[in-house]
Amino acid sequence: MAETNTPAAAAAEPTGQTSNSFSDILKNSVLQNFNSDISISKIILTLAIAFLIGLFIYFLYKRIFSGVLYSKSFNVSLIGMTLITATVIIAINSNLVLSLGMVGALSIVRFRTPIKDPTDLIFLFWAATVGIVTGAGFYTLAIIGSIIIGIVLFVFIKSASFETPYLLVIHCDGDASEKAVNDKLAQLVKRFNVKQKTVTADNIEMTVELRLGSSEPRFVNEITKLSGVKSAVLISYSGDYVSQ
Amino acid sequence: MNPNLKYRHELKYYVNHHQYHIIRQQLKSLLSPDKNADSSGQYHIRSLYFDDIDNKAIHEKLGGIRDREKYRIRIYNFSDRVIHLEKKIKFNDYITKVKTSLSREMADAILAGHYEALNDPRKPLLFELYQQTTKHLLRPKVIVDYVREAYVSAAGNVRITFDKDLKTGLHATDIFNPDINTIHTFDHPIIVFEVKYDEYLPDYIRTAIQANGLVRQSNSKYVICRKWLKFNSWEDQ
Repeated sequence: MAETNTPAAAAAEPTGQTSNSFSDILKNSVLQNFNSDISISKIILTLAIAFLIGLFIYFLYKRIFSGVLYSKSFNVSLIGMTLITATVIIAINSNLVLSLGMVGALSIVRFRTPIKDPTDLIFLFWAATVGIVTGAGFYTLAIIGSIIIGIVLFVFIKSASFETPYLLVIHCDGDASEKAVNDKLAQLVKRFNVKQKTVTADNIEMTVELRLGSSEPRFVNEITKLSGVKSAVLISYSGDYVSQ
Repeated sequence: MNPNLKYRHELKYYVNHHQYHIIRQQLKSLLSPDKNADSSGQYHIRSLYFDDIDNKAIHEKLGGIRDREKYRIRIYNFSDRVIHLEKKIKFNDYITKVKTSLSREMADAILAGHYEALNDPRKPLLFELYQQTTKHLLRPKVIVDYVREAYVSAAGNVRITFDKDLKTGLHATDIFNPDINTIHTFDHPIIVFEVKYDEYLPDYIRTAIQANGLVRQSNSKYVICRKWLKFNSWEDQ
């Protein structure tokens, strides 16, 4: 920044003064980048944009949350994060000395609560980034960046469950009944795949993931009616089937 | 990671009494109470945790090491009818345990420091414990007492527990004595809410346990209780 501004700063000086030392030029040009008075309109504009993007993050987090317990307080803190970071960056923007001091001051802030879920961490980082970028005045970057990040996160996190995934847990007694169940499933549901099968004496437990498509869950009744099928349980779940 | 073991999810939260009652009411009609529980739906668990000369278990937990393991002896309702020796293994975000039952004589021998009784290569877990006691000076460290209320569901092998009244036995390691002096570990009554499941969590259970303001915690009862044992003044973390 200093180098690019030097010619302009030097040119602005009266031509008669040649005694400008290097440090003066550096000081003037660097200080020119900080405007110590912050206009109210700019503050409001920045915070409004930060808030809107924060709200976008809030709704997206709520929509694509895939963990076990949704925490509203965490989600609200995302909005807080964007606004506060934006405010801090506006302050830093206005004053060189403050900006250097802030580097030190912020480095002592340490959060002891571990963020367990990597997705939560990404949202937190996203909120902080939006705060920094809007605070620095790059509104277009903040808006376009957030839209792209939002779309990518939505597609990747939500893609597994555009249709509600179901698990069917079937207990049956042998080879023949298992085959009958498989045939019946192929007829009745849109698509299915076996997730787990446990065979013990006289008992086969099978966990099948399936998509109902347009068919109704009534097909479970038909499967239970098959001979040899002891029980069938249909469970809706989040789509996260983690096996080691 | 050992492919022969079944790993499960274990998520922990702190709840207050208000949240506890809300979640419990919702769960009661959906899940069945644990079969070990008494008429009030609860049972008492006492665990004696082991740690070695370097205090590996506590330091790895506090340092956030990804893969850890620890040993404990566990009894229920202060009775010596069932005594379990357990090795709790954490791999990444997943947890599993290996357990074997101990006889009262064997448990007494361990408590008395006669580890030779464990020297039996035919029983892998006992033999492992024996090796740990000789090679790493693994010793019983702290007693952890609490009352557990558990609800279970067959689908997904879900187990939802509320652990109340967490107490530590301080330096006492005599687990069969119901009268040892214990103290509460939390200043105010916190209930630890744990959600455990194998591969998936059914949606109806997920919906039922939603409560406001719960944030996932790392909560090691061993570490909480162990922190009450201070050997040096700088151990005041």
